[in-house]
Amino acid sequence: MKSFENIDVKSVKEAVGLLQRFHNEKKSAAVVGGGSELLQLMKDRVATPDYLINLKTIPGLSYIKEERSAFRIGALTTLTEIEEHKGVQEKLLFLSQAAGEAASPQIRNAGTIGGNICQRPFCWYFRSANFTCLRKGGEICYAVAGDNRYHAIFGGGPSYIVHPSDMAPPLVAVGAQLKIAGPAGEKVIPLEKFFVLPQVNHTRENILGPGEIVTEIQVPHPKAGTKGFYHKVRERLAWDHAIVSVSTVLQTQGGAVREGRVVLGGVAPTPWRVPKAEQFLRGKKVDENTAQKAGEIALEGARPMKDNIYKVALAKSLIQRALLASV
Amino acid sequence: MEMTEIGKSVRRLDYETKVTGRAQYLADMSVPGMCHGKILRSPYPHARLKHIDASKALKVPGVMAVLTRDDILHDEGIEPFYGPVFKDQTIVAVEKVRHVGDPVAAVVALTIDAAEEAIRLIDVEYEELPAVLDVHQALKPGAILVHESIKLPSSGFADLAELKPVEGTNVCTHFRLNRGDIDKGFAEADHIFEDTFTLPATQHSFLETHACIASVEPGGRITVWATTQNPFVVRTQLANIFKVPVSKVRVIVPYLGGGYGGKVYPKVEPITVALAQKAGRPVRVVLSREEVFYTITKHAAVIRMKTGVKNDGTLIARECEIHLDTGAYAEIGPRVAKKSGYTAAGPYRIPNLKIDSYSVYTNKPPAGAFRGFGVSQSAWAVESQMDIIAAALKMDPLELRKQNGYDEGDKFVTEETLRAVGLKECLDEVAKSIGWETKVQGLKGSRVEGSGETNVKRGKGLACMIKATITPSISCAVVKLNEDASLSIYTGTVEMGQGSETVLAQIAGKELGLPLQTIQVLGVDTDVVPYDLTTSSSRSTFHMGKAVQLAAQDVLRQLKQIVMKEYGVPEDKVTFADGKIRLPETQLDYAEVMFKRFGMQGGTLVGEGQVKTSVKDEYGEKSTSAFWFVAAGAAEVEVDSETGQIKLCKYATAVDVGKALNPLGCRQQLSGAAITGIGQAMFEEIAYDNGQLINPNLVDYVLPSLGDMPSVIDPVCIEIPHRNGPFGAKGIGESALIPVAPAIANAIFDAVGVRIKDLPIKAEKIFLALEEAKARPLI
Ligand SMILES: Cc1cc2nc3c(=O)[nH]c(=O)nc-3n(C[C@H](O)[C@H](O)[C@H](O)COP(=O)(O)OP(=O)(O)OC[C@H]3O[C@@H](n4cnc5c(N)ncnc54)[C@H](O)[C@@H]3O)c2cc1C
Ligand code: SF4
Repeated sequence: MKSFENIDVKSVKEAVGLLQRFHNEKKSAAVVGGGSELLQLMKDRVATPDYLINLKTIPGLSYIKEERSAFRIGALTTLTEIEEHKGVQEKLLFLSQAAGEAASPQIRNAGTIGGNICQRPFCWYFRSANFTCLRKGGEICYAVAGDNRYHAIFGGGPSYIVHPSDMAPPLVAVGAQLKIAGPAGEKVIPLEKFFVLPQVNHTRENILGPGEIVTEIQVPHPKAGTKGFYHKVRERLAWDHAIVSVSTVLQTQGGAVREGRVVLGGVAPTPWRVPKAEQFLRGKKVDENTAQKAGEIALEGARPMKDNIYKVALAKSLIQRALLASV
Repeated sequence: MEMTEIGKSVRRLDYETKVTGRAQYLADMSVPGMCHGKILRSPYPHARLKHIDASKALKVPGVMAVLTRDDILHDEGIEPFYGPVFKDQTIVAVEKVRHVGDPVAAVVALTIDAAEEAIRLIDVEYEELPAVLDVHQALKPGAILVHESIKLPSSGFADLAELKPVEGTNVCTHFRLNRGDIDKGFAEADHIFEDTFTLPATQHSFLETHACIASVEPGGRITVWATTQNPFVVRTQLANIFKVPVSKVRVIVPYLGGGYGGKVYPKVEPITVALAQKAGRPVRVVLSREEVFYTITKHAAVIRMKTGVKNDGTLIARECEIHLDTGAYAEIGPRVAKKSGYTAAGPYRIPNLKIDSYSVYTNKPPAGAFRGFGVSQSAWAVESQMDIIAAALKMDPLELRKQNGYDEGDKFVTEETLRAVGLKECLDEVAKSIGWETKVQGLKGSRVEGSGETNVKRGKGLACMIKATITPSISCAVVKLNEDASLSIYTGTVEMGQGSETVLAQIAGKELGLPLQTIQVLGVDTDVVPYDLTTSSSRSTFHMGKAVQLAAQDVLRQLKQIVMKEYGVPEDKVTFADGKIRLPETQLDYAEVMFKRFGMQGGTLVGEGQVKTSVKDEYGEKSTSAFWFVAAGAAEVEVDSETGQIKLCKYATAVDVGKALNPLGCRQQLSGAAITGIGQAMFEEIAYDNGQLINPNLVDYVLPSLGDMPSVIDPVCIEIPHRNGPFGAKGIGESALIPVAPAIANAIFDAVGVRIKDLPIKAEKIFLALEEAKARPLI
């Protein structure tokens, strides 16, 4: 690991100020939450910050507040806390489940929700110090000609990562908002708008600008008649990212879908909504047929690479099952 | 205190030290004045080393020395070439680097950080060369050569003397086995089956990475603390490399954090000693997980198998070609080729054979021994094809196996007589365990809760195997009876989790009638313990157990002599029972007799035992293996016929253990081997991209988790006593692993009718095979 200086900050303001200062001085700095992801990147010298800004020492950034219309979750809240929160389990069971299926118990105890949605890709070329790929400022994406069994079937090019977060798809499905603090003050944006495709910027996964940090996630309470479902398929049952995951949140009335979102994980550089399938479902009763059709519509336009054609079939099948389980 | 029993489960003796975290492993240790070593490794699969400049590295504060090829080429005291079979390895690369991760140079520094920084500052100029990245490429005529020439085999293994590299090719060794008349055999066959099976390189994934502390005294005396399964082989190799007698090399082995074959033969020891010598300070090198991936792997293989079968299921002929990817250095590849060749007929009587087994050099990290080596490759093909044959002939796979399988007294392919082979007993047990008789195809189950699935199919499959243990070999043991009638056991057997300490203590305790609590098994130190060839090949209970038994009997003999002399009792009146010496009138305990002998409380009786096996056993019979392992496994799976997702519901494993000295320990070994086998069958694979490893870490290299294990693993010990083993015991460590992959593949075929011939069996492969089957017109 390259040596670095750790700075324990006391407030969001201080963190933002320092980030901006280092940015202006052309020094590299990274914020750290639980450190469960960043530390490994540093050990492998994929990340080599001169300064670590430790958010853990900011008081009052770890909380789950249940308000009238939404949960407010502080950026430093751990995945375990989300998984085990009674209110979340009651109203957003699928979100609690998603948290419980991420990584491993140890990582969930250390890992924060802020870090989870800001984590870097797990593309094996990206993680290896032996490949300076496009995302690390190099010339080519090694996944294109290389082993791309875990890569994107949607939204790829020129980089083909899949977003590794298990939390992001269900949060997008339920319409979560994100609070971001930065040099220009605070802003709240839909989480969906947070992630960027490589065609927009192939060196980052989100829109955070210099000096910006995530401070809070706001998760609206689902409307009456809403049911959500999370299903993740992976190679091993713990400590593994999704090959494909699906999050569905459906509001039904009189047996027919009023409104709903279907979001895939593990298939694209961002959580991947499938609007055409969502539209198709509107007003329909979910049964074997419609669920299957929705799966097919959702996967129209998928562009599998040479080693990941399986993801297409798996995603179809998962959507179908998730829909049937969501009504 | 309870008397020691054989055949009764005891908790392992190292239990408490290990679960409380007190056991010392090498990386926990340090010695006074110790520095730290780091290794610079090749970024290329194949390149010529043009120029190395370490001057910048030497300027890093805290750096003591940098080791490059100049140090090993121009030092009179160093023989640069070594290797257990061929001398094709060097401490650091000399002319070429031959795989990604090949050591190029190394640094000693006062701190790990300084060493790490310094290796980044060594300037190396490489000239990249085209690389051979798989066995196909390597075997093409005119292929790039990994080694232009190979140094003469170092003297060593008697069983490998006839194996030589094939000059001018990448063939590291070619093992041939011919029996009967192959053409006639195929002519007599009613059906001929031909299939190609493959399996990838994998990792041993021991918890403890390779590590070494080395210290070299000014007079040349070398001490190493090593993570090795065969300290005496490491001693010999170090003595050869550094040109000193073996008495000047001391190898100490603390508890080993798992080995599985990945810690036999020199690994990180030669480079650590060279660093210590150059720096004039003790040095510790601890490999990272990534470095372990560059150090040793399991052989990937391509196996083409053609088998002739009669209408009634009798196997009549087999032609088999096995290509094993040995990587850049021979290591123990030649023996892997030999063992997979010997077992390419499986545990079956096949009169006509033509087997060609090759270990092949490629520009990949070296492959070596892996729990059951050679056989875990060949059995994947043998046992998968058995079910292909059974399906084509509409026979029960169990019956087909039993019809062709070896019986007691049958001749093996080496023309030697097989004894104590409970093959059919093993098969029957595992079949019973998974309810073979109720095997029904397409029993529907449900996977995703609440969704009313009907795509899930159940299936059952089984497999079996036969394998050898390394022969000839040597194990010597010494036991010391102390003045208080407690016992100390000195052996070179390395406790690496297999429970050897416990079983050796049990054997001595039973023989001498002493409670386990009074027995201490000492750690391995080649200055102290007598010679043992290796802790591998599942040989320790059989060989070292026997040596300890003989040593204990030696002590009894001495006690008897003393009693005869000191008490004037005739020999036939002295008997032993429960740790006491029975005389006609009275009984004595050992401590009393010792007191009598030495005249005070003190003194030691030293017992010695030696076991040596050779290609003729003690009854004068041919014996290429001191004993034969047989095992069977059976799997029950559920497969989602839509997505290919697999659930392993149950796995049963049965091994003929000869005699279960510690039944609990046996069952744990069998379950452990099955678990490793499940990983190999369904999860693990080293992924390469043009010679670069892209998953050299335990996040991307997928080991199974607890949740992936079947809810039931049923380990069964079959006991058919072996006449040469201690109390009839045989080895067990490796055998249970081998049937796992084919048993699961066979169960999957049973469930959904697709045959996977390429490990690991992942959902994706089943899905693609199902799609292909759907697309194929029905004929
Ligand atoms: C082996 C392994 C397996 C994993 N498997 C899964 C999985 O299956 N599913 C899954 O969802 N995740 C998985 N993860 C990721 C895991 O969930 C994350 O490591 C964890 O949630 C990150 O939280 P952290 O607080 O430790 O982040 P850190 O390591 O502290 O930070 C991660 C990244 O986010 C940035 N960051 C952290 N907090 C903020 C903030 N408030 N604002 C802006 N940027 C911030 C950091 O700079 C860094 O780049 C895995 C991780 C590992 C190491
Ligand atoms: S997918 Fe992205 S991260 Fe992976 S190699 Fe390509 S550019 Fe790099």
